[in-house]
Amino acid sequence: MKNFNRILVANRGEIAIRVMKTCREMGIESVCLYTEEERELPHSSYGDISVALGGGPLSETYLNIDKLVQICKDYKVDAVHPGYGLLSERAAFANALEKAGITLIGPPAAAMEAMGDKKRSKQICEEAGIPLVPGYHGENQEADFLFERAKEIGLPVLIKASAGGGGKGMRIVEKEEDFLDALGAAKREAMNAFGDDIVLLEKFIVNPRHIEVQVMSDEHGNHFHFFERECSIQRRYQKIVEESPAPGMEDQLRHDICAVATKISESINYVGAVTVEFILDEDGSFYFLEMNTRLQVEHPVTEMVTGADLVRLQIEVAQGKKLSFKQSDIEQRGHSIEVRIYAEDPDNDFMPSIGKLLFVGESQLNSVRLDTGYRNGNEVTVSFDPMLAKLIVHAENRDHAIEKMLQALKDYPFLGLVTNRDYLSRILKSKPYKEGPTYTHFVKTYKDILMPTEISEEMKAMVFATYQLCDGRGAKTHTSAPAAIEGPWESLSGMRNS
Amino acid sequence: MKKKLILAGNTEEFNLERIGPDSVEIQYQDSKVSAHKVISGESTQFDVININGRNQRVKRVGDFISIDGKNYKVENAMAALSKKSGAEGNMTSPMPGKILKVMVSAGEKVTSGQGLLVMEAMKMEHTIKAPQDGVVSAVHYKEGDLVDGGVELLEMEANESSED
Repeated sequence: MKNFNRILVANRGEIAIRVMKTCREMGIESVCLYTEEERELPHSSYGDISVALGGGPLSETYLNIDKLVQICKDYKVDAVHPGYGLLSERAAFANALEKAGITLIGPPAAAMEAMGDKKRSKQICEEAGIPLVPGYHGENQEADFLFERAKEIGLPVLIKASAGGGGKGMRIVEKEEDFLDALGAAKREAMNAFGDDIVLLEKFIVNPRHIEVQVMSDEHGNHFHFFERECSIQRRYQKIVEESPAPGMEDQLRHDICAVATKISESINYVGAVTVEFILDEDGSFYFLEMNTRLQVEHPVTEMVTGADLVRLQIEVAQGKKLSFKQSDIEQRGHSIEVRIYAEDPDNDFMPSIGKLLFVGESQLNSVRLDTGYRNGNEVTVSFDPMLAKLIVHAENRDHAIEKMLQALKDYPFLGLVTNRDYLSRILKSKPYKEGPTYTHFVKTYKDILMPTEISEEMKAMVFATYQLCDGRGAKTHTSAPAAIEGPWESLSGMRNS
Repeated sequence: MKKKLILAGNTEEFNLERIGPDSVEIQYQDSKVSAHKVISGESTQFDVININGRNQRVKRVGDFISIDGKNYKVENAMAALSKKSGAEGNMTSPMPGKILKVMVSAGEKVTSGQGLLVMEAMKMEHTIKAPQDGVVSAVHYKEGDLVDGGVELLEMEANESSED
């Protein structure tokens, strides 16, 4: 079994801080990274040792494998936690670390390669008897043949250009008599747009839900699930509200979907944390979508309901330890919701916004967690993802969790730039959300009821009163922050050169 | 005392009565509120203001105010006017990006809301529109140019009739 004294966190922002928190709790030293423009961001000094990556494009900084491996050697790092995104699913990084004798807190490169490729992961699932969205992906493109396949799949069916994207060469067919016309149109469109008229057929799911299962496995053959997360509320194919358990899900279905996820992990002898994503149809059938071989953004809701620290488990499994509990020890307690606070304008097509973050806020409510990579005075730029924070709450049931989230959102204004905070409140207050279940087309379907309300006369008077009574000189923190941490950086860069 | 503030882009007029150093009364249209400051928080904390008998956690930093779960931008009407110093409207780039299309040229008459220029920022298109009727006096960029955030893209002069 390996012993870790020092871990390098090969990431930035909220997830780097999240990982370093657990390192601290375990008494393990952490090395944090930062670029030229990230000097004032909290992750740059959250670890025990800060290392500068310099400037330039990502390929020169966080994605520079050679540079990261060299830093690991220079600072005698035992293991690397890659977080999510960046190098977390790059087999080349896993291989480079292995060669250098450094442990990656993540799956073996082979598992990453197998499951990272959508086509291969689907093949693996097919062989293991895991349900996939029914469809036809073959080469026979004769109209009559395709029509027969469509009837087998069952209507409504989706015709999609193989080379496609952006909705071109795509048709939804609801009635048999429309199939051949739609096929012809889709093929013409595909030929015009992509120079290739090969199409594929897929069952069209009218009201899909996005359900994913958290699984954790060790080297000793244990594969445990930590139940499901529902992530159906999305905008532009990105999740903005996530929760666990999935609202209104029957126990039998929960059992089945979790068992399938565990089976996938078993079938490839996976080691580490993995999330298996499914599409759930209204009739209770579910289909494998993809597998993410890393920690997910929305992992905190699972931590809240199961009480597990998934990063700690990742580290222990990477050390070669055996998971010291049984599947039946893992329980779902109460309900947890996460919302993603973004610097964007939901009332203007979710246009990203930039500016100076003047006031993050603070909550003193119980079981409220804010994972953020920003503090007062930080500049929010276009260089990185516009996610400002994840706000997570836990309560005894879903109704209580919704109410708590609405109150917690009031505690985090993220003042200074346009955010989706009020929009998130509108979602949580809406009847369709409260009643559930929620489908992936929620944001589009309920566009009208999610519109902002006008500012009331009384509220305007209250705003004017606040303006008159408060001087507005609130954000003094940014003047002291850079000076306070400038010193250690300089001494560190000196250390690297020596 | 009559006061003017710009809230969410609209100039609003209200009556301000100072009752004490930390106490005011505001009359805005049919709504009247009495407010006094209870606690001034640290920079990382909320302030507490009692408004009509209820404690509200609020925060003001510069022109930004947070109250009851929503943020508002409030500007001093006079300061905003002098900032503009004769140039009308805000035709600056919302963030760094690329100019995709310029639809007008200098000297052209435009109407309020008319699209003047399209830029791409963070893979999204954003159209810069005329804030009021007037004449374009200058276009500073051409198609394909890369621009920083917050720079003036075009200049225009308002029609005299629309000035008050």
